[in-house]
Amino acid sequence: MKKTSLCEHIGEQLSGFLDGELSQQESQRVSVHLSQCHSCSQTYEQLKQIQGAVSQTYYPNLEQQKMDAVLQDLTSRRMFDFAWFAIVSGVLISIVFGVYHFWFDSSIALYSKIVMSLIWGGGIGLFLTVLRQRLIISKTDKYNKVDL
Amino acid sequence: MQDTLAKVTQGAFKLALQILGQTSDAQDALQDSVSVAIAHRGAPNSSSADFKPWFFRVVRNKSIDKLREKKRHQTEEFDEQVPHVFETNLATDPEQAAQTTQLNQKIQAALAVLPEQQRELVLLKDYHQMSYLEIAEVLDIPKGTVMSGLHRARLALKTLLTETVGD
Repeated sequence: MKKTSLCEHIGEQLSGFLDGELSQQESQRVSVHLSQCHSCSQTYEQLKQIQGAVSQTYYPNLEQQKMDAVLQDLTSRRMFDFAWFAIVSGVLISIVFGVYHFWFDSSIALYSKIVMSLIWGGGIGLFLTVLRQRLIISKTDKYNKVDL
Repeated sequence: MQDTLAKVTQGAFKLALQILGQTSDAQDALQDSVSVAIAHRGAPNSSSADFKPWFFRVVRNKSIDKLREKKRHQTEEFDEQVPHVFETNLATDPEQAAQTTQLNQKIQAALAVLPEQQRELVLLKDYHQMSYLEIAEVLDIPKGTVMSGLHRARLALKTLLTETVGD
């Protein structure tokens, strides 16, 4: 049987029919057409065979030991994140309390407070600048993963 | 979360392997994706049906990132090329095993020739058994595009396989 305009119209619905993704009405229409059209019926059978073959294609599993390592690594990663969170929180709280007590301590002279604040502020500023540069380099340097 | 992840990780690993072609790269992509699944606040509930397509999408994106990174580093030429064809152990009968291996190789060779999106469509539907809605979610395309794209991909695969058989 020759291809008709209906065959072209059915076209992609053959795949939808094969996958069970059509509405009941569409399915019925394709089913009736397949029973009448040898050409489309042949294409449908070929697509079905290919689908079966692809579903049986062999790809190896990841070895269980390696898979366990991938999943177990989550626990250590969470602990690592928590540990960093605890350290950074502790340091920040100490800094806030330290600065508060330092500035509101009446036994320390004002000029000492200003000088110490400038020194510490400068130090922290330098540290943050270097840290920022290092972070930018680590994200953009395309050779950072090259093993020499 | 870890239990649900364990259920989808082998499938997700195979998706990464199908994109990257090398076990070690696929394992790295999976590792990165698992970290994202744990840390991402917008991740669907791990017990919901939405989790698998969401996780597969993360794995696909991580695998594509890894491919791009490899291309940028221009190291492919120094790597030992591992073909996208794997040893099979599906059949115990030697003759049947030989036939299965041959068919596997033909299918995988034909898939390798398909354009990237067509290959992904066929593998997500026929190998990973996902619905059109899930495939649309993984590939970030409209659901309506899945059926037409998949049909074109299957026809292209049919042509390639017919040509191979004809050789």
